[in-house]
Amino acid sequence: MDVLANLGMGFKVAASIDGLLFCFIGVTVGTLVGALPGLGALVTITMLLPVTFYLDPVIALIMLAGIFYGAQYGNSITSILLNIPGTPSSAVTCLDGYPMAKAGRAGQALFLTAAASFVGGSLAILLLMWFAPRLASFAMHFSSADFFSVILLALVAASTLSTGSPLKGLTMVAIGVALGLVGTDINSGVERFTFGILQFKEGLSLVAVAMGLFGIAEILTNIGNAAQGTLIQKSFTLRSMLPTRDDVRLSTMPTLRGSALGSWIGILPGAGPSIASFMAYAVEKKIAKDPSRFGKGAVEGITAPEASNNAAVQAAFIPTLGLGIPGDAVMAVLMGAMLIHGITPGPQFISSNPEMFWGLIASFWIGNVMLLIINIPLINVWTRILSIPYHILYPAMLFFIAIGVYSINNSPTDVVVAIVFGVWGYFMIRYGYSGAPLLLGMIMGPMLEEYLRRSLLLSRGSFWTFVDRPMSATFIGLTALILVWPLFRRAMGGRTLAEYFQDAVRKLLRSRAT
Amino acid sequence: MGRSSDAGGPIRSQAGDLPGRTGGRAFSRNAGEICAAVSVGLLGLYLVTKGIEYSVGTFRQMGPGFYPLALGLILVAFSAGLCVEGARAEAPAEPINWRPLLFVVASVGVFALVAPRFGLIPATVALVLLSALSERSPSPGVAIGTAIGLSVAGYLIFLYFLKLPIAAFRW
Amino acid sequence: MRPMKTLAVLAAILGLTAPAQRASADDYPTKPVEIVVPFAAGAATDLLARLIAEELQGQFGQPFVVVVKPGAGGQIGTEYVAEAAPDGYTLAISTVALTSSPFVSATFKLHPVNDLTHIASIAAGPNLLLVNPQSGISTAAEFVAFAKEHPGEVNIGSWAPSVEMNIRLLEKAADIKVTPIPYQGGSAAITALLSNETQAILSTYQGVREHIQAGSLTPLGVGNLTTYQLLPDMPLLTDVGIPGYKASVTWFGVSGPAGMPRDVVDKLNAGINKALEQPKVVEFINGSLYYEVLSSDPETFQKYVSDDYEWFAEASKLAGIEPK
Repeated sequence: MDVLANLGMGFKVAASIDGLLFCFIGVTVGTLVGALPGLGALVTITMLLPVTFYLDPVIALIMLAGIFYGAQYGNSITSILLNIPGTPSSAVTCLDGYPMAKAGRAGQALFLTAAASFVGGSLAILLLMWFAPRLASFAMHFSSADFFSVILLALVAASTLSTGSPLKGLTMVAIGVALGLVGTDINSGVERFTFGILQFKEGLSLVAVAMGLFGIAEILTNIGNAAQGTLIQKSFTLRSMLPTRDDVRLSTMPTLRGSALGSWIGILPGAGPSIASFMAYAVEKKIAKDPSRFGKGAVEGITAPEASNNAAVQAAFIPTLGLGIPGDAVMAVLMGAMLIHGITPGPQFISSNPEMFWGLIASFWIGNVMLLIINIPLINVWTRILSIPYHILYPAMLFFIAIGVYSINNSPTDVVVAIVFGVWGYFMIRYGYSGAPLLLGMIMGPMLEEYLRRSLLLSRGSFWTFVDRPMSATFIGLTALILVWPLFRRAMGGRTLAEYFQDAVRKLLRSRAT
Repeated sequence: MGRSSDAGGPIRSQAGDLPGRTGGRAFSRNAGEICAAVSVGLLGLYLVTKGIEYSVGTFRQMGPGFYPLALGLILVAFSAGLCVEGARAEAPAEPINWRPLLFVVASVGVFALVAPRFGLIPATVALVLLSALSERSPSPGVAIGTAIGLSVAGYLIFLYFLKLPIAAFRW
Repeated sequence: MRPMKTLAVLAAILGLTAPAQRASADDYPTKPVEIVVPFAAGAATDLLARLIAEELQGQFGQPFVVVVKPGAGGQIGTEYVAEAAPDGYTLAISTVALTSSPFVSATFKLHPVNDLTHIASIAAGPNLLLVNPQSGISTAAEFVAFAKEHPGEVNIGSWAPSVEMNIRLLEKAADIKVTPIPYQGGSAAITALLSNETQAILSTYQGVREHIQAGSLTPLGVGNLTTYQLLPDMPLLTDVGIPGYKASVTWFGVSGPAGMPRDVVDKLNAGINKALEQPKVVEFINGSLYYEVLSSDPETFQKYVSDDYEWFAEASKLAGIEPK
C-alpha cells in the first residue's frame, strides 16, 4: 500500500550514513540523559539545538527526536536500581522495579522494561504511520470538559497507587494538588503561595520535587542502615538476567495494554508520558487478580508503565506532525528546530514534506531497534552499579541529583526545593506515606483546575457541560463506576453476579415460605 | 494498617498492666506519626485561610481561592482520619538518623550555593566531602577519591559533552 | 550531506569548537556574552536569539551563548538581566511583553524604559483577527454584526497581557462584548480556535499561517493602521468594519541593563544591524516567522520602546484594565 512505499522512501533517508550516525547519537544521548536523574530531554534538546543548524533538516530532527524517545528508555535504569526516577515519568517504575532489584532480579527488570519500551514505541509508530492525520484531528475534538473528565478519571483511578493506607495515598494526592497551586493563576493572574519568591511565580519545579521526594529522601532513609551496601546479584552473566517464562507470560498483556493506553494519552496535547505511566500502573493494579503483589516486585508494575511512557512519547508526534500542534514542551522545541530550517509544521506538513515525515518515521524504527540493541547488553554494566559500596554510591547519587536539578533552570532555588522535599519526604516515608501519588497530584491538579474553570467559563457556569458531550459523559461514568465498584464488590461479598442473584432469590423464597 | 494494631494490642496489655503507662508509651511511640497527621491538618487550615483571602468567587466564576479552599477542607478532613490511624499504628522500626540528615542537607545546600558562584568543580568537592561526614566513621581517602572521580566525570558529562552553561571554575 | 560537514558537526557536538580569535586588550567583547531569552525554548524569541547570536559570534569571534530563562511572562529572565552588571556581557531579548506587563501585572517591577538600555531592534509584526470558518463568518463586518447580536457569547482566547489589552480595545472600537478565555499560551489558544472551543483570536501571522492555508482558519484583517508589508493584500481592520482599531505590535529587540557604556551599545547595534542584513537572517525572519525586519540605531529603538510603553498606558486607560 501507499504507506509501505512511503516508508521505503523514508528508509532511504534515514538509513543513510548521516541518518544512522545522528540517530545513534540522538538515542545514546537520550538514554544517558534519561538515566541521569533530574536532567531531562528538554534541557538537552535545547542545548543541542544550535548544533543542528548545520545539519540537514531531516537529520537534525532525527537526532533531536532520538534524544526525546531515548530518554524514556534510560529513565527506568535508576528507578530500578536505586529507587530514584530518571525522569518523573518513571517514578512508577520505582514501585515495583526497586523491589525486584532488591530481590536480585535487577537484570530481569531492566530487560523487561527495555522490551516493554520497544513494544510501546512500536505500537505508537504504527499508529503514526497509518493514522496520523485522522488521529490528529480526533485530538481536535477534545474540549476542555472532555479533558477535565479524563483527568478526573485518571486521578481517581490512580488513587490505587499507594501501597499503604488508602487514606495516606489520597492525602498525598491532595498535597500534590496543593503544591501544584503554587504559581500564577492563569485565569485571574493572581499569584498564589509564591511568598514573593520570583522563581515560584511559574510554580514549583516538578523535577525538583520528584528528585527530592524520591532521590534525596531515599538516600536519607538508607544511609543509617547497616544492612545497606550489599545487594544480592548472584551472577552477572546475560543468561541469568533473562526473564523467566512466567515473567514473559505475565508481562504480555500489561505491555500491550500499556502501549495502547500510552498511545492514546500521547495523542492528547498536554497529557504526557508521566500521566501515561501512572495510569498504566493504576489500570494494571485495578484489574489484577491479586493487587497485593504490586509494590513488591510485580512485573506488570514495570512493563505496563514503561510501555506506556514510550508509546506516549512516540504518539506525541501525531498532533505535532499531523496538525502542527505541539503536544508538549519538547515538541514545541522540535517545531522550533523545524522553523529554523524553513519548514513550517502545520496541517499540510505531511503532504508538503513527505520525505521529512517518512524519513522521521523510518528513523523512529531504526532508533527504537538501536535502543534495544544498546540497552540490553548494557544491563550487565548497569547492574554492576549495585555492587558499588554504598559509601561511594550515595555521594555520587547526591551529586547527580544536585546537578541534575540545578541544570534544569540554572536555578539554585530548585535545588533548595529538592532538599526541602527530600527532608519532608524522609519523614513522610517513615510514617507510611508514599511519593508517587503526590507526584501525580502535582501534575494533574493544575490541569484539573485549569480545565474545570475553563469549562465552567465556557458553559457560563453550567455543570451540565460535563455530561452533555458524549466523551465527557463516558469518562464521568467510568469515574463513578470506579468509585462505586468497591462498595458494590463488598455488598456482593466476593460472589459473582450470578451467585448474587441466586442468593437473593433464595432469600426471597425462604422469607416467603415462612 | 488496621491489622497491625490487632497484633499490637495483646502485646501492649501484656507489657504493662498500668493503663496510664501503656497508654502513654503507645502514644509517644506514635508521636511522629500523629505529628505528621496534624501537620496535614495544619496545611489544610492554611489553604482554607489563604483561599478565602484570594477570593473564592462563585461556581460560575471561580476565583483563585476556590480550589485552595476546597482542597484545604479536604485535607483537614483527611487529617482527622490520619490521626485516628496514627494512634493505632506501629511506630517505625529505625530511629531518625539526624546526622546524615544534617550533612546530606548541608552538602546539597552548599552545592547550590557554590555552583553558581564558584563553579561546578568546587561545588562537587564540597558536596562529596560534606556528605561523607554523614557516616559514623568517615574515611577521608574514599571521600577525596570520590570527590576527584565525580569532578572528572561531572566535567566530562555535563560540561564537555552536554555543554551545560555552568562554569567549571570561577573565581 | 558532505563528509566535511558531517565531521564539522560531530566536532561541534564533541565540544571541539573552533578557538576564539584573539581580540585586542580593551575591545569588547573579550569573553563570552550571554543572551537571555525570557521565554520558552523553541518559541520565536528563542529562535531569533539563536540566529542573531550565531551571527554576532561570527562577527566578534567570541561565543554568544543563548540562555533560556522562562517564567512569569518574561519577568524572571528580564529581571535577571536588568540586575546584571552593565558591561555588555549579559543581554536580553526584549519583547512587547516588557511594555505591556506593567499595566496588567501588579508585581512586574521593571520599568521598561528606565531599567534597561535598549540596544537594537530586530523584528516586529502586527496582530490579525481570525475566526473559525465553521462560524460562517468571513469578513470583519460580519463578525461585528454577529458579536452585537450575541453579546458576551463570542469566546476569544487570551494568553498574555498584550493579548488581553488587544481584546479589550477591540471591544471598545467595535462596541461589542466578548468573553476572553485564558489559555496557557498562544499555541493552546490556536488549538482551541481550531476545535471551535473559542470563536476568534488575535494572533501574529506565524502561528496561524499553515491553518489559514489549509482552510481551517479565516483571517479577517490586520489590527494595525499601516499595511502589513508581508501580506499587502490583507485588509486592515480599521478599513473593513472596525474603524480606528489598532492592536499592539509584537516586537523583538536586544536590550541590556541600564547604564551600559555608549561605545559597547554602538558596537552591538552595528553588529546586530549587520546581522539583520544577512540573507539567511532576513529569509528566516520574513519567510519563517513572518515578521518584518526592524533595523534601527539605539536612539530610535529607545524611542520605539518608550512610545510603545506610552501606547499601552493609553490603551489600558481606554480599555479600563487595572494591574492585579
